Amino acid sequence: MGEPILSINNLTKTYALGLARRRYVKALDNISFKINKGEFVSLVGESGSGKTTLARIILRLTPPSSGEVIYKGKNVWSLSDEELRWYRKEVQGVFQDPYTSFNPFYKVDRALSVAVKKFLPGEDEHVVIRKVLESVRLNPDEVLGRYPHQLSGGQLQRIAIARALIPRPELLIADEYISMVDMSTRVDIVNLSRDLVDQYKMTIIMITHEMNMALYATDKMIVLFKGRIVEYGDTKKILKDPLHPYTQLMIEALPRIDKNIERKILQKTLDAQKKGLTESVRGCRFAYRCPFATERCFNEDPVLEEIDKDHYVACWLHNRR
Amino acid sequence: MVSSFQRYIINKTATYIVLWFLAAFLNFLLPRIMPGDPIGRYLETLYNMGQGTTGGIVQVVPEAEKLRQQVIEQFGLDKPPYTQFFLWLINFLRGDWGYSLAFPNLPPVIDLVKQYLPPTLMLLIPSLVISWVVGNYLGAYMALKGGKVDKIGLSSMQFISLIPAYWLIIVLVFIFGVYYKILPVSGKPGYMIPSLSFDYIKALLYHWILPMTTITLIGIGGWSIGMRAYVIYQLNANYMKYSKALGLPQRVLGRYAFRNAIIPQFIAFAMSFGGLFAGNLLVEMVYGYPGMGSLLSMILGRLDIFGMQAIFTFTATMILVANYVADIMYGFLDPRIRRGITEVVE
Amino acid sequence: MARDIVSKAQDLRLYYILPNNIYVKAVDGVNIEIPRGGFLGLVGESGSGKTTLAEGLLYLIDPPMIKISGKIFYIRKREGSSTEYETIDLETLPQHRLDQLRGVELSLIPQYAMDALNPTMKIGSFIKDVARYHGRDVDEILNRALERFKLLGLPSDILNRYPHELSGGMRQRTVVGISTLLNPKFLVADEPVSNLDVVQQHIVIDFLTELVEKKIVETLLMVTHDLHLILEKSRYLLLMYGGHIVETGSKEEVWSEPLHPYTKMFLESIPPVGSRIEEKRIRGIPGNPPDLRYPPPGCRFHPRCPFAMDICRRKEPPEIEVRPGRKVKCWLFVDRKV
Ligand SMILES: Nc1ncnc2c1ncn2[C@@H]1O[C@H](COP(=O)(O)OP(=O)(O)OP(=O)(O)O)[C@@H](O)[C@H]1O
Ligand SMILES: Nc1ncnc2c1ncn2[C@@H]1O[C@H](COP(=O)(O)OP(=O)(O)OP(=O)(O)O)[C@@H](O)[C@H]1O
Ligand code: SF4
Ligand SMILES: [Mg+2]
Ligand SMILES: [Mg+2]
Repeated sequence: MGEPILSINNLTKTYALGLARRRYVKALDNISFKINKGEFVSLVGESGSGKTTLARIILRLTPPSSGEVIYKGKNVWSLSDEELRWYRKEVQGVFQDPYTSFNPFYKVDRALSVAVKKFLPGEDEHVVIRKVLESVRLNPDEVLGRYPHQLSGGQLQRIAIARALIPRPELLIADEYISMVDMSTRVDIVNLSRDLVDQYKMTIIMITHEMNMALYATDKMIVLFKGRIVEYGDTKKILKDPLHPYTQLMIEALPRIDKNIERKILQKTLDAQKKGLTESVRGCRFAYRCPFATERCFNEDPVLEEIDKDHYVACWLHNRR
Repeated sequence: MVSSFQRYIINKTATYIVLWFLAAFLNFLLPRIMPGDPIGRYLETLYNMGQGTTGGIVQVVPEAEKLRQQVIEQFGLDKPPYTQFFLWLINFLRGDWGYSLAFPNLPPVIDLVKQYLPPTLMLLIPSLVISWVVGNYLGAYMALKGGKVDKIGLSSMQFISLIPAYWLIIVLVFIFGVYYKILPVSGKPGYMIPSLSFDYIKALLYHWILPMTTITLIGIGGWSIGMRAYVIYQLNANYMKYSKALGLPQRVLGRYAFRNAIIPQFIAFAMSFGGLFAGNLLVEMVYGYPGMGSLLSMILGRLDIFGMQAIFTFTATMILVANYVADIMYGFLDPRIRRGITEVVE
Repeated sequence: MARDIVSKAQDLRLYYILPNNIYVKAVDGVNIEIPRGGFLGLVGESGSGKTTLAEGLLYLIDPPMIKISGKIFYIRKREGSSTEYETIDLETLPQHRLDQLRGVELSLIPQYAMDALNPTMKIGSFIKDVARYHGRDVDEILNRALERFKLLGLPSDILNRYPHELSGGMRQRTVVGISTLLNPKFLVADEPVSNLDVVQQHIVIDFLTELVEKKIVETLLMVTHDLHLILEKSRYLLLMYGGHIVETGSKEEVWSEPLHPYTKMFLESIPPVGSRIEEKRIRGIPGNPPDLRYPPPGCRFHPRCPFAMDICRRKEPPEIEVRPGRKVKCWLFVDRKV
């Protein structure tokens, strides 16, 4: 396996709200994991669980409160100017909100051609741009020459992907990059990502709510809940045998066409929500929604433990310690 | 735990202090790199005004040498460079800005500034305030009305702001000074020395109206064009579409647009404040208005190095202060900027 | 008749005008009747004109979108009558009447939900404005908002937050809450769950379903790419391709017997839960979506259609009403009818 391309060590991020009366939101709580070169990793988890925050920290857009991000042996948050340029070329991001990721005053062409000029000097701009647009299933003639607001949500999102692919990054962090395209295009983009990983050894972290797509194509999966990793490991193992009840819930909740499937864990979540139960402040954060919770779950924090090779989980049902 | 709000302020403060030192240092270098012979020029002035020795330039030379010696002593030019710099800085901060070579009696530069600054502020503050308020109002009005109002409004504002100032001056002078003969065309208030006497103030006011009108009009043009662009940008934002989809009436949408568009205008307003202290060279000169602009033109014209040094440092300081205030304000006005501020480091 | 329909478009053409005066024919000759009541789905490829049509139904038509032809009606119960319905031509309605309808009777959850909130306004202040300008009791609406935000799983201090202090999915749920706050009769939800995880999707969909079941919202037209969701929840489907409505019908009919070749391929593109790429690589629909500036002549799907016949390349297929409420726009079905 060798050196991991990216390691996240004890990362924590706290936001403060309000100027006068300060309140705090702990978006990430002591997160650690490693990713090897040429892996396709999915980062899934509840809305508000800190996925975007993690992406922004890796991309150096938001500083962490504590902990470190190591890329190819270098601490990302203390790079020299030159290393920073190198980092900005090797690591690319696609942002969650395509509506605000483009400068509204410029045609989308500009974002693409700037990327070519900056990262691939000397290459034929025209050819590069057309090729990359076609790879995300856009018709270059149709979308070039337009301003961001003149494109549909899905078109804009794919232009953001195209822009990030231009520098041929080593590491791509894609935050909800298929949320606005139709199912068939989703499959195409995920297949394309798989090919980039297999053929070019690109490393991709795909943040997605599309659990189904994550299970379908990725090598590794990280499941986040309320700022903590609850399960992490080989996707195939997770697909076959999800250990954490929250992971089970995500798979159970996948919409299916056959109507009458039983969704026990989901029902519990929906009930908790209706009753207005708020998260547990001590112990396992999932306890109040978990049908298997015991006394201990409400009081003690479970720790992430390797249960099987390449399969970690933080849950008292499985923890041996 | 230092909140990043504090960190932000500390950061900004440090940056501006460094910038100020840099500006001061450049101004410190000025007389040392200036071509020409400023002191010779001073003596020439004396001579031309008939106050010098009647024997002509040649006889002046020994006096020039004496003056040079004085200057060297006063500015510690014989000391090592860094001592010179700090000596100069300390003097500057204490208000000892040296003597102006632009005037035969070598008045202290700070006294000149004290004389010439009030008329300039009297001219520029009201015009900045009026043009800011009127310009923003007009700009927002054009953007919100759209259609013909916008087209005509925009082209007239562009006309006003793009025509060279002297054009506007010629037109105004022609209308009010030549045609109606109600306002003076040029000239200082009777070549009087600025003072607090009633006559002087009356004369000043009389001479104030035309330059004030000129500057205000030009300002309105600029502010309104900027405001119009900001409002239009806001009107096209997605939140505007959504507010409309929820049935909020036009006037509420207009209010939202205005409120978000005025933020950058506030910042620009704060920043323009610094510029006030330099005066408006062109307008003051044309109308012969006795402000900082006129003072600067005299000082530049006569190669008055000490005057330049002091006045440049002074205006640079004011501009930096204004920008500093604007930067801090930015954080408070826009919650999105505050986002950077509200993050915590444990 | 009128009582069964909530919204209707006739020969609707909504184009975008590009700066070089070329039109994007995003909605090009659409005739639809949106049935009243329940959960309806509008699906189709990315860029096929769903958002345009959705905005058009609420008459949210602003440059560069222009209406080239057609009429848009909203049909509602006449005030003070329990049996009579009135058909309102939204085009002829004065602006202030339209404003009174919007948010109150007709509402939209926009696709750009993540970017839909005023960045310098707290969520609470915005809600106050919405309540105030629709003449509602501000405190009552704020309380209702809090209650509903809780159902949507949003934090309790949400009213005091600025939009950027929320995650993408939280902003989306906030907009779902705000758009339904005044209990609109006809709600168009454009991708309301695009940034939510599967569990949150259920929460939002259950929230919306409950509003529909309690008849608080009478008709919900949902645009979504999460096909499973629509197949699980909706009762009626409209399929869009290249600016046209190509098929309509009840969910069961469309699912068990898709008529249009595009619908067939579209439904087949749903990856089954739990499949793995190494075992079976799922493929999207081959070919490219039409360029709506220069749509292909004849049937817009013909370049990608495995059944395309000669006539498909030359003439636009008519809309065939196979059964009442079941329509398809394809040459294959012309003979069947005759
Ligand atoms: N403001 C605009 N100016 C020009 N063209 C536009 C504009 N908005 C949308 N379009 C074009 O109109 C077509 C339909 O767009 P629309 O947003 O309705 O698609 P959609 O079906 O909602 O797609 P998605 O699923 O990706 O959101 C697209 O081809 C798009 O490029
Ligand atoms: N700038 C900010 N200021 C304050 N709180 C913030 C800020 N950004 C995010 N948060 C909070 O941090 C938490 C995590 O947010 P984040 O955007 O990382 O979630 P996410 O996992 O990406 O969710 P989603 O799937 O909804 O996009 C949320 O509770 C959010 O409210
Ligand atoms: S009309 Fe022809 S080309 Fe179009 S879908 Fe039907 S068979 Fe295919
Ligand atoms: Mg996010
Ligand atoms: Mg859309």
